[in-house]
Amino acid sequence: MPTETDIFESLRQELRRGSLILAVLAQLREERYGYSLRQALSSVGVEIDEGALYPMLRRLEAQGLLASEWREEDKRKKRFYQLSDDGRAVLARLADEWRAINAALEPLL
Amino acid sequence: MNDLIDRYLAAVAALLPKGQRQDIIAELRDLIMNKVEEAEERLGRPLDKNETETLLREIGHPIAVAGRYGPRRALVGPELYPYWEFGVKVLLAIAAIAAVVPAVIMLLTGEGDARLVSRTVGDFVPTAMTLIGFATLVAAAFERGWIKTDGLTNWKVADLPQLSGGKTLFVKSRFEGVFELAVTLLFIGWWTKLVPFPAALITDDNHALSLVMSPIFQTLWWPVLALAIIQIPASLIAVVRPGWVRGRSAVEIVCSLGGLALVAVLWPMQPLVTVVAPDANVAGLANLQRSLDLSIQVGLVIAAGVYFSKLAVDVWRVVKG
Repeated sequence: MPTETDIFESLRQELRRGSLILAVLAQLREERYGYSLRQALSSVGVEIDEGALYPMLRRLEAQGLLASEWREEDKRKKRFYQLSDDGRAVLARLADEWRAINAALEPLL
Repeated sequence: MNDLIDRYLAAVAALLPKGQRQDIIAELRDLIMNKVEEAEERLGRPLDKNETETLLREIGHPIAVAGRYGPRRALVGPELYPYWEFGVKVLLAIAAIAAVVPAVIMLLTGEGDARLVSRTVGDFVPTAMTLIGFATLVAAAFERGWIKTDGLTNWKVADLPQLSGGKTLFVKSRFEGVFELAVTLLFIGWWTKLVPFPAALITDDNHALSLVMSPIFQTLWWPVLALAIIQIPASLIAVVRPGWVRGRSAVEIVCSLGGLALVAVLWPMQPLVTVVAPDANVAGLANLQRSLDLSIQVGLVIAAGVYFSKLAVDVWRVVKG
């Protein structure tokens, strides 16, 4: 029998899942590599496990929402990601959706 | 330290698709090195072996890490799961019947012994596991789109079973439809010798007892097979479009007529099954044969009654809709 904490944790994960993609897309308006992206998200209070972040970046790129390139920085090759044109359009629509959900839910909460 | 990192990356690489391997590993190496540098900066010294080990463990087991890069797809996903569960229940019921029926026959014929229970369980478990595995394979094929799921998505409320209003005579549920279909297919498999006959289970190890079928069954081989094949669409309609009453009843009428004809042909040809046991007590064997003949006679009478009633109900359904 799951405890109340287990149930809360599973619901919290479910709630966060979609919003993390929004946060990642928003942070990639400017070019970043995986580790710097995670730090940037962390600095604004959005924690994301790297085990989830890196595969997510690849999926978003496969969907055409991100573009990436390998470049050398600090004597190491790094893969830099940035929103593609399609990604910008999708981000704008998702952001509208997010605001609409937020506006609808806020009075209920 | 680098040796541990290389070993870790090699273990992940071995589990990745070839085309993406180099790319993913390069990125993962960069992530690890960033984390190492961050930790070393915090400690003001290089990481030792244990600290590197801890850092790599935090990233995750190579199987879990490689798995995250694969397609996110469950063997049986949440949408398909209720269908899988339904199918497994039907198959388990069939496996239970297939294991219990021969055991009951052995008990009734006095052939049961102390090992009967363990043999029945021993028959049930592998059959059940095989059927669950089969159901899972089929579900996985649906999940991956190898089998199209139009039947599950393009359904109509009008195709759902009609409310009986208390008159449940010969109204089949979907479960019964699937069950009937599976049993019919098993029968066809047995009749065509693709599946071994369970009667093998009621002959003892020394072949001191066996059942011999009447030659009439050879004469009726094709008609019986045809009747079983006609039963398939009737069962399929009950599963896929249970609301299509006229269609199902029309096929059921053919099945009932065929069944009645079969009973009429078999009745004068009795005995239909003969018990052969050369070493058995003559009186006991005669008793067993009488019981068997009587069971078959009762079975034929009941079958005729059921076919007549079904025929009447189905004709009424075809007329009334």
